[in-house]
Amino acid sequence: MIIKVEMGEGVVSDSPDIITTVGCGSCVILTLYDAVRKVGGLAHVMLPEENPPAPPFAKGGISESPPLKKGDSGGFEYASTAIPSLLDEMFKSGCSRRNITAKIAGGAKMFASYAEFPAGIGEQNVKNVRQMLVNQAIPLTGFDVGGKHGRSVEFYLDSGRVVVKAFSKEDREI
Amino acid sequence: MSDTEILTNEQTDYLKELMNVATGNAAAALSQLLQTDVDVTMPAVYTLPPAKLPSAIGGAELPVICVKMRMYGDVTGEMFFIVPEKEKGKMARLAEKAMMGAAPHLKERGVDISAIEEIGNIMTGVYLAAIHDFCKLNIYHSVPAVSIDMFQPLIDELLANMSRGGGEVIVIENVFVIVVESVVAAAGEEIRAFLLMVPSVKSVKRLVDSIKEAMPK
Repeated sequence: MIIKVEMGEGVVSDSPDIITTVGCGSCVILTLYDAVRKVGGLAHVMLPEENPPAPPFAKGGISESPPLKKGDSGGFEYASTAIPSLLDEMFKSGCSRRNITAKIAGGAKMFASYAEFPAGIGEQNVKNVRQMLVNQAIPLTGFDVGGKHGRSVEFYLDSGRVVVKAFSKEDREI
Repeated sequence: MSDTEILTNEQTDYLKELMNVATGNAAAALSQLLQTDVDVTMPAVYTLPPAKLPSAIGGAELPVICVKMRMYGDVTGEMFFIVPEKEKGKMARLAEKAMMGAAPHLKERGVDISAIEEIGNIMTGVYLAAIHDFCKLNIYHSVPAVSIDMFQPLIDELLANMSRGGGEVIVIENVFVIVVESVVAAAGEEIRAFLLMVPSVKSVKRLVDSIKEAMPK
């Protein structure tokens, strides 16, 4: 089965499924894989960390919307929570921490720097995901990050292979 | 969803009318730039939630030439001028036919990309001018930045930033993007283009209120 993951989402599945996600720019695609159980998880991380809730607006009805509850989207959209969320799911599938390795792709800066366009969030996304991997003692075995181009990813759960596709570039396996 | 944050059908129709007026000005301005007759067809104008943009443009992975600008003033946010990458050849031919020797500085860094950047700049300017004339909103745009890639990566930082800050995540469904679809025709070439106007979360109310106020009673 091919499982498609959208921005800010994450999923865990097992061999022989393929998890795909497309159109990643400043986002980071994180894959975790347990080669023994052939179980893997992918998260399409959007932001470095969860911000405190914005203050309610004085007018305009925006504050009338109920705040987004933590866990509504599993915390996959933030670098700070995506790894624990994926790990939780993987442990439920019987994975053990010592068998899990990680690969990451993305974190690009899509437009050249102008004064109008301050430093992008891509770099910060990559930095935070790397730091979280260190904190969780998950080895990073492959990466394709930075640059100025978008990426799509195919994650093969039979082998743990991660294929990175980009516009006008050769496919790259990490 | 409260009615202050989205446009009604009547308001969208009014916006369309306003954009149609701007289209005439766009054609005149482009004719001057390209030194040839330019026709800009009546654009399709509609609003969308930002997350629906990739499917409206033709897919998350559709290669596009993207000119990005920031909006300042009464309404802040971002604007994108998008031309599908497959139109690049047409653009090059048009630029070659139309601008022979006209703008040497454009030739240095690839006449097709520079021409699209310039066209994006002009179209953005005339549409913002129309909004100013009708809705009395002063909106300025920054110098453009250009990138060629799959569509979604070009806007994912925008989508991510719009969802920043806990409570605002929900707002992403209340804010909208104004999409102006048009065809620029000149020198026998027709180029399909999209202009996207993405008002920031805090500007949406101001924009909608101004459109409401400007509408004939």
